Order: sequence, then C-alpha cells, then structure tokens
Amino acid sequence: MNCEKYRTLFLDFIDNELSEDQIMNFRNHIEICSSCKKELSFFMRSQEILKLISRKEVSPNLWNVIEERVKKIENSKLIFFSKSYGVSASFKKERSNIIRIYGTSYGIAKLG
Amino acid sequence: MQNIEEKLVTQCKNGDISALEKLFYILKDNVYSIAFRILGNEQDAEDITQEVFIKIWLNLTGFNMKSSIRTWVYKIAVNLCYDLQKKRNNLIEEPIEDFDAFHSDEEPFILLTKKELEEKVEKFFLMLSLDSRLVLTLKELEGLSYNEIADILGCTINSAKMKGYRARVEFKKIVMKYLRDGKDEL
Repeated sequence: MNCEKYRTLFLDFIDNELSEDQIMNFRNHIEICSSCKKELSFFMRSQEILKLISRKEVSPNLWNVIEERVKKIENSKLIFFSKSYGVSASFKKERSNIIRIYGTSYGIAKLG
Repeated sequence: MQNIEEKLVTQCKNGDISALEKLFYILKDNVYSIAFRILGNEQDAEDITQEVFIKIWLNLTGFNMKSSIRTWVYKIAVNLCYDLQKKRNNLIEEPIEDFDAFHSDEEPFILLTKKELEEKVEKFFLMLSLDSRLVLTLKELEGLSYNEIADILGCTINSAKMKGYRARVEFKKIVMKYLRDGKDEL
C-alpha cells in the first residue's frame, strides 16, 4: 500500500474505525514513513485545534418570533378552512383545538 | 420506546405548539451554530434558525421517524443555508486567499492566550470553502458520524469521508500559509 492509500485511513484511524489488523499495518507504515507520520501528526493536532471552535448560543427570545409566526400560520389555515367549507362540526372541533393550544380562539369565534 | 425528542415530534404533529417550543430549546443552539459556521454571520444564522423551526412545524407530517430528528433538522438547516448562499451567488465560493489580516501579526501561536488562539482558529475556519466548513461543523462541532453526515449531504459514506479528509487538508493549507517562514508554531 502506498502513502496515499494510508492517508485515506487517517480519519478512520482518528475515529477508531480500523480493525486490529488495519491498525497494526497502519502503525507499521507510520513508523517507517516520516512524511505520513508528519501528516498524521498534523491531522491529530488539527482535531485538537478544531475543538477550539465553540458552539454559538442564540437568544431564547427568538422563540417569541417563531411562536407568533406559527400562530399566524395556524390562524390562516382555519380562516381558509371556514371560508372554503363553511362552518361545520369539524370546524367546531378545530376551533376547540385552537382554544386548547392557544387558550383563545383568536377571533375565529366570529366565524363560528 | 420513544426518546424525548421523538415524543415532542409526535406532540407537534398533533398541533401542540408548546412541544415545538421544547424542541426549540433543545435544538436552538445546534441549529444556530451550524448556520453561523456555514454563513459566517450572526444575523443570517438567526434568520436561518427561525426558518428551520417554521419548516419543522410545516413539514412534520412528512417526517417518518426513520432517521433521527436531529439529522432531519440539521438537513433542513443545511439546505436553507445553501439556498441563502445560492441567492447571493456565493455557492461556488473559493477559500479566501487574503491573509493581509494576519501578516501584521508577528506573534507566534505558542505565545497566544487561549482566547487569542480561539480567535485565530475562528478566522481560519471562515477561510475554508463552504463544503469544508459544513463537514467540519457537522463532524467536529456536532459530533455526527460520517454515516449521519452522508445522510444530511445526500451522498455516500465514502464521499462524506473524502469531504472530511479534504476539509482537513484545506485547513492545513490555511494554517501552513499562516505559519510560513517558520514564524509561528501551533
């Protein structure tokens, strides 16, 4: 196996995804090949360096914007439904669902 | 047996907005971080995060629970980020080659504080191509397997691994360029 093929195994080696035989072959090559040894060393170092990239946090207030949009979407669905099909038993069921979810019917009551 | 996220998805499917809210608090920083790492700015990342949760609400009936909810959500985030980049005609972007910002800084890495080193790495990261940023974010930040990354990117596992390999080679080139002339050591 040439160096290029060993280098395709770098990620599997770092992620512990090689079999015992593969690890032995891999280690044997790394011992005698200074170029691959240097390259592997950088790969392992890059793992540590990349860990410095931290997770970013978004403001929990973003939920207020999302919630408002979701409620508008649901509201418009119900208005479309009642305009298209008139008020029916299923509408009353939808309306009670809305009240259960939002605690209010958001003006849909007028349509009912 | 359903895990907490799957239970919340089921509740969302039944129209329970409070379940979406709980899902938001569980996944918001993951989604925001992915968007931020790909797009590189906070406002875009916040907009994408908002859109992701709207899409979750609108498309939950199409989610069949065969893959994990996280993989599905990340896939939505990644696709929205790509769409935004496309709109800005930046999809086929090349790594930034402008190192002027670094040339004035002669201080070796070894002498940098952890915070300074973090800032440097953040800058290096943004110099990567979009594909490389994406695969490294999913692998290193989110800790996904190449199997999951392949699912998100819609490619084979080998292709995902190759992207991971290329991303590290690209990262190395950027760092080496910074370190050229043997001024600094990592």
